[in-house]
Amino acid sequence: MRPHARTDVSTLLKNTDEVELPMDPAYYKRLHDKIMAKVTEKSMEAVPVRLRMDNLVAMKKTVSIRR
Amino acid sequence: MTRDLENITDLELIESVKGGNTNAFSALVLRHQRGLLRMGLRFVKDLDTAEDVVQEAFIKAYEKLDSFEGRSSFKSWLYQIALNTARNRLRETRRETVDVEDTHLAVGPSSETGLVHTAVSELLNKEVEKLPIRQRTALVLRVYEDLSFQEIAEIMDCPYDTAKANYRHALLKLKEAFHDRQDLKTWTLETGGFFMELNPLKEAEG
Repeated sequence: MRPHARTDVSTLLKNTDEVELPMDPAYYKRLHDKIMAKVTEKSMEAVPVRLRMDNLVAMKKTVSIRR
Repeated sequence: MTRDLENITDLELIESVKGGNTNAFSALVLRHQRGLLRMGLRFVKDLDTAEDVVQEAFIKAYEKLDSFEGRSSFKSWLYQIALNTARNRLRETRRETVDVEDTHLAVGPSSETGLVHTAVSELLNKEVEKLPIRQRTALVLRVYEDLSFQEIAEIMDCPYDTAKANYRHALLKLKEAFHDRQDLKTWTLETGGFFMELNPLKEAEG
């Protein structure tokens, strides 16, 4: 066997990979602008205060103390 | 003093977005859109659909950003959203079409390696496509996205060992698929030894 001739299944998969991403930077600029145009129309959903992790921890402690 | 974008972490950008700076989200899009597109393309196969997946994933991420608490990396969280979006798209597509000719994995031949390479590619396409979705996901994230098992576990929302087991099972199934194909087996041995490395599964450690 040739030294260093072995490869693994990952390499085989990669060698037969035909996914080709667009190379043109203009494509990614357009995609970014399209995404941001949509994002600016949206607003972040506020997490209910009671469901925040620090509150859940505090609630748990309160329950423990009451016990 | 302003800092270069490369030196600002995702978490810092997220805090800035939460503080009302939409430009910080723009930086997150620039940073992750290419990787998300690549992953999306592996599942939905079509560039336009992959673009839609990326866009939808970023919009969902933005809307839910306030609930992101940094227990996993932003990248893992974002990939998880994109993966679920891609899966939903796949389900919709499968409901809409019965054209099995279109169902192939996005791996294939490269011109210089000829017919046997094509046969290997086709077999891989077919076999990877047949994998259960969780095994396929682990395989794609590990092989093509070079993610750690910790990241894969976060994205798949499962324990570390489960992510690793899914990947190992995927590799073993690919090995079985090649088992009876002596012609392809010889080719893979000549070009690198597909089977020699499968037994120790060295690449599964990580």
